[in-house]
Amino acid sequence: MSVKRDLVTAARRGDRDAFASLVRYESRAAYRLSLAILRDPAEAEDAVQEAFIRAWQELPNLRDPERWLPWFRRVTVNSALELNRRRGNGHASISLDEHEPEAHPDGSAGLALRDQIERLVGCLGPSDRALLVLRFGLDLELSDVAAALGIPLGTAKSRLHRALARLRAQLEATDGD
Amino acid sequence: MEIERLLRETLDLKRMDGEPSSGLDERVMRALPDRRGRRRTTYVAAFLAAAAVMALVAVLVPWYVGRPSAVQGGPSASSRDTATLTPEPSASAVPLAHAQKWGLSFDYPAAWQVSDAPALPAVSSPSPPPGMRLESLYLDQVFGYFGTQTPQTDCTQAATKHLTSGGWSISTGVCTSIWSLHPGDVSIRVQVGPVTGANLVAGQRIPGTGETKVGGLPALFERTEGASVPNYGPDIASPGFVTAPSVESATGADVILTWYLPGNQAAQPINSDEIGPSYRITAALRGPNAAALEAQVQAVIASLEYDPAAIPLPADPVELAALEKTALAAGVTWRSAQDADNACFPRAAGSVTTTITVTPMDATLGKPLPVICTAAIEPNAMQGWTITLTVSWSAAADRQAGTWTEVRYTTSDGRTWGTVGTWPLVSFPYEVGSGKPG
Repeated sequence: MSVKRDLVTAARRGDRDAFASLVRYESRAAYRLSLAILRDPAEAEDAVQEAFIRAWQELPNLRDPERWLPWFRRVTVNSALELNRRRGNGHASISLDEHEPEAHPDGSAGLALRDQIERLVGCLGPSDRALLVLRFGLDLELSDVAAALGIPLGTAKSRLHRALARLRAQLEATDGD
Repeated sequence: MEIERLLRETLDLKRMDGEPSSGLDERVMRALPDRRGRRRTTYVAAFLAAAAVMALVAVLVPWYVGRPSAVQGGPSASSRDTATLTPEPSASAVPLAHAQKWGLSFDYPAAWQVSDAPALPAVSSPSPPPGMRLESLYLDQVFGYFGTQTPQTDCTQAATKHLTSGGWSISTGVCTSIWSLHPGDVSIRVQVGPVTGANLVAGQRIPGTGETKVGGLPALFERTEGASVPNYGPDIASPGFVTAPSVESATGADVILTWYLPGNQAAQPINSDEIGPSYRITAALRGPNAAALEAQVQAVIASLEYDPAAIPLPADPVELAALEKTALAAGVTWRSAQDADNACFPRAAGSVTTTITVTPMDATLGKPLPVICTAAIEPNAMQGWTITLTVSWSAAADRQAGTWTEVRYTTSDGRTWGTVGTWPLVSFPYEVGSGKPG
């Protein structure tokens, strides 16, 4: 982290070259995070650009350079969710209970199951999707997930519990078919 | 757990397909706005525009009021038209320059000069005592000047003498300026100041000054009319300051503006003994249009930031609470590190009832002392924390009740930059060698 910490420190003082290095370090991970939330490559790139611009402007407020990663993660998630709201994509959320899963064409149970999970997650609203991506895609502690989403830990817990219960119910219903 | 395992496999971002397009990094950098310059320039330009308007008013109002027609019945429309055609500075015609010097950064009118003060006079042989920097042998060291003209710096030479006893005799030098302001001149001096962050957090002020904020941190400000540069001295009776007779005259000045800045303690390297400077900024200005010049100086000071800039405590309550926890733990760790045998303070805000055999100041006790150790923390105006550590004990047959307190000032992440102990000093009961059990 020390190289990155030095870059963050320099960028915080206005060093654009240092910030350019940070962009090179983080853009791929930020893109994947945004893509997992937005599921659209062009929108994911827009979200990443907005996240970096916001990070550049707000960086002087980041007191501890060691906290850069969770801080920037939060900025990225917020940018993705705001972009989604601005572009009116919020309606893409579909109730899991109403979704009808399909069997995988090659008959592979594992792949079919993962495809099914991916499809079900894709049907969630972006903020629930962000929650699952942060918790399981990045393997973050729930407290870090809550921090990244800017919500209280209790809210993160209850939202996760609800989303998992619905996914389980949906999968069990599929198994029963 | 099955669903969670499936989610981990499905959503794992490391194994996820999809790469950003190759030009994304460049696109981001091209879109990056100018972070600091734009905000500050806009801010200063607004102030300078106001200054220009004030200049216009300063010239026009006496002219307007002084005209016989105005006194008798108000100016005619044509006379007002004539007046507005008088060439005056325009609000948009004040080009700015930016300086980054002396641990500060600021914008100023580009027509002004900025210059460093000459190097401090070397001390006559022998050179300063080991471990003592030349700067510490001079009071009121001048860093430099900016404005329409530059005064000369005059420092009496410091002298050191190695005594046969092995000690040192030190006569400190004092720096002042030789000012000479002509009509329309403004000159601003930047030098080492006396007021620290600890002074301001503790509420200590220089008499005659008011509280203000410069570069995101608290500061003191004083405005005086005439050419005498305000002076101050240490308060002998208690920590703080008293006013002292002026020893310096800014010849020709109509107004003196003085700011006392505490410096940005948070910018100091961790564990460094080197204390960054506190500042005294003295602006001397001479009319005509003193009001406009004063507004210009105020605009320059409003643009001033520390270099590196002071970082405010987070506004987000969750972040603030997390930082508070970290800072208190760091503060308590620092105290415990000074005295490994005395670790009675809790690492979270609150109290612990325990028994100690060593005091926080590392004095050994003749027998165990039951105490309550308390750690408290609160944010302060220096955008850091005030940590209060307390040890209290009750009365018993062989001791009186008492309290030992230490106040630490820390950066937002808990690095200590100032300490205030209990005064007068408190002795613990049973201190070995203290001679006063109880």
